[in-house]
Amino acid sequence: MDLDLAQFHDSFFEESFEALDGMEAALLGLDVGAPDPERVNSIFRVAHSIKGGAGMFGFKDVASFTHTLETLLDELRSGRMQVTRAISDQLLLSVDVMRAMLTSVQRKEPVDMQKVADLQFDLEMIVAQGGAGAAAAPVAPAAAPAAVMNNGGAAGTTGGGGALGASNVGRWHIEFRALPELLLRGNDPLAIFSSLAELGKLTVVTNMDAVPRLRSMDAERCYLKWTLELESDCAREQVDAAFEWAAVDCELSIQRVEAGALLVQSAAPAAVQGAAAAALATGAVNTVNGATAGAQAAAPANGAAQNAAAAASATGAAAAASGPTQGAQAATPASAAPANGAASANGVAQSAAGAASATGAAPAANATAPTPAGAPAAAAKPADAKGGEHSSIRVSIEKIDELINTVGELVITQAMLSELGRKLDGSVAEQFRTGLNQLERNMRELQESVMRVRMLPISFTFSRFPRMVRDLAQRLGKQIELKMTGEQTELDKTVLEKIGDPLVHLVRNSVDHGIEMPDVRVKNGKSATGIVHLDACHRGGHIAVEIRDDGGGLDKNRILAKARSRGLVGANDVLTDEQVYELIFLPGFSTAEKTTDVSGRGVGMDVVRRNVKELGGKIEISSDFGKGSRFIITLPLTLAIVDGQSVSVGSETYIVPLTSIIESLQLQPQSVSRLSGRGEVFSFRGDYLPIVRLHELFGIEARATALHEGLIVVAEGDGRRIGLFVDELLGQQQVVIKSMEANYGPVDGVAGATILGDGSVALILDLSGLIRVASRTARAA
Amino acid sequence: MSVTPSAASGSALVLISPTIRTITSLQTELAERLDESGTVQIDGTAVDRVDTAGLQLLAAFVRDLRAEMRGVEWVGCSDALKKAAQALGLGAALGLGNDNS
Repeated sequence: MDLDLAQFHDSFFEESFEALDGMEAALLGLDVGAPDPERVNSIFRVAHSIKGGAGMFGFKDVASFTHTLETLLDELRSGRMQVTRAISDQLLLSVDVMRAMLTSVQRKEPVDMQKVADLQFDLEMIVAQGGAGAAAAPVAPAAAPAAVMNNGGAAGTTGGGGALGASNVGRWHIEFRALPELLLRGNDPLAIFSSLAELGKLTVVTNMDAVPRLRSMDAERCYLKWTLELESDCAREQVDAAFEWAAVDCELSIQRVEAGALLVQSAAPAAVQGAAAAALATGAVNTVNGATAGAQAAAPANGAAQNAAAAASATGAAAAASGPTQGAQAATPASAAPANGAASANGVAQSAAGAASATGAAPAANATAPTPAGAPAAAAKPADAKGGEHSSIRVSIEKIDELINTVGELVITQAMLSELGRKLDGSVAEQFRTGLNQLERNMRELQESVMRVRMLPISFTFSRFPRMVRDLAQRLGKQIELKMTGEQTELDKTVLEKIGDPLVHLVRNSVDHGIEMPDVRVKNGKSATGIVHLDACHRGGHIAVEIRDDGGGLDKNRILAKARSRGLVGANDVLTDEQVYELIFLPGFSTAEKTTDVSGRGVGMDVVRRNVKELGGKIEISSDFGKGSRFIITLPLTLAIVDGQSVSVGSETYIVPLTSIIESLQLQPQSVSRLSGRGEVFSFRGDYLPIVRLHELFGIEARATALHEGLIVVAEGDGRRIGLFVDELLGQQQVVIKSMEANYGPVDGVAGATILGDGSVALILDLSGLIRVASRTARAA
Repeated sequence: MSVTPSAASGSALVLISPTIRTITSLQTELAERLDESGTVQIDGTAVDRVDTAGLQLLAAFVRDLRAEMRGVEWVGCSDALKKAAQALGLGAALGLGNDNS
């Protein structure tokens, strides 16, 4: 029985991941003020179905977590609870946690149960708060609502950890970590906090995680870090001033949270003490002691006790719950709240913060949700509903590829028959040719249908961006609206998969370096909210994907200065705008003022270009300094067939991809020169291009050796142009690409091979590789 | 807290001015107290000056005591000490009441 079930694991995981994508998209598109009931319902169904599958396959932790999630979703879809921004954020976190859990289970790796337990606890608290009330069970965390999320209500007080809710005053969320030398340099956080307290109401949560045991600590060094909430409408400069002297001796993050943002605070301290007592009562934890933020939960089998232990673990009086452990992880301390205050993205921090502040001793462990102003929801609509709302079946990619291959062979066979048909005489031949024409039409339809099977809408790749832009914008404190158009534009699955990373890089660049901070934008007469626009469309046999933003644009002068300082460009060289922009594709080139962990290390753009080129595409840039930038990636629709120009060289036929061809011409001897180091060159549109005699390069006996006897095909690759010398042009056709690597091995200058109608093999040229080979040969000569 | 305090051993630990200036000698004294057993009584009545270094050390001391399941009893505490502990967010860690500012 187990063996049988295991056969379905892969399907379960695949469907679950897909369902989670749909859930995420639905959540991002949820209108918190007036949520669409059907959308909430569909989100519920995802949780329900994953829970059922997980239960059936014995994935208990997944089932348990999803059960809690399902309970919350049930409350929401029934209308017993309202969807709030904070709840929506928690649900998004749940998607992340479930993905991580499923990935771990799929890979047979340990699940990070601490994260799961913390978020599960939060979800239970939400239900307990918004539902019928606290449960009676002594060990249930619901009995001790240590972390409560609320949306509205009286402004939170910090004494005794009382009421919560949106404050009417904005606040500054400050993460302050002292570096060890801070105290030795005469700085004292007490003085800093005293200055801050003059600006407004200050609440302080201290993290002692890094403080060693007394006997081994260097008492002159500072090991503490703090999370501060300053309720004040004071200016940023005033907050900065408080830290002025200590700035070099600390890690500091200061975020503005506008009035109306949510707070996560704790309820009555007694509740958490009660939870700790409950945990002790069950024997799941041995002691609750000490002021330490690290805690070891009890036996992992008792999830409730874990939650209670985590709740009891705080920087307050009830800190370390220790007891028998069986591989359980430490609870996360209160100040694990993420540096930029987007604490709603970190349920762990929220639960610990909630627990910490619950003791009443440290009531102000506020984890603030991101402000509505700070992170406008992506404008994108979710992709078409997946999984269950269209009739479809799953087919493995190998089967599709086999099918495409077979159809490709059929096309070749049909071409051979057509060729034969042309040579026949007589009345029967005429009927035969008519039949063959019909066959050719059917084959073309079949080929197109089969190619379409592999085509998927680019929304599969675009769908990751709303969440990504939202989270990034929050982290950076920027306001960004993401627009997406053309999501239904289809392209080959392989191209789709490989274009993801380059697009991510370009979008991250736009968000990080393109769009300015809101105050800078307003100062420059722009709206505080920047726009990043992703668009895809078909353009003549290709797909064009555009990323444009209305940010600061590329600074040509800075790029040029950087290139000059690195010796990439001569001091007196004059470059066109396009040539300057091309510089950013050089490896390691970055003019970012500072490296963020988002981008700026200069390892991206060269990889972006390389990835695009490997797909047979290209990338172009245009920019308007101060106004914005555009990056356009052009890609072939599919990698399996190519439109090519057949050319003959001696007895061989080669295919030159049409996308590489600029022009074909016949040279006159007087337009050809010989330059030392470059060989033969000819004049073309004001430039001198090298001539590549294919028969010499490939070692073939050509029919035409004098240049005027053959033809020049002007082609480009890698941004460089050459003239290919061939005997004659044979015609244009669409050919099925056969892989060189799979059938022989990689050959520089050759992209693949195809079988022509007469059964002969023609090599498909790769211009970039060909130019490299030709350059090497010319230098060697 | 559900720790059963044992009988206090010896005299109370008297704090004068736990600051970075006197931190080394204070650390020595506290370490000696850690080697003993039983509840530690701390008298902070005389404290008129305290800084982050002093509070950090005291917080580490109280934490380590609790880890060894020993009690801490404040027999007296000056306003200055209490306010500073709360302002730094270490009031609860030291057992001196709510952190607030």
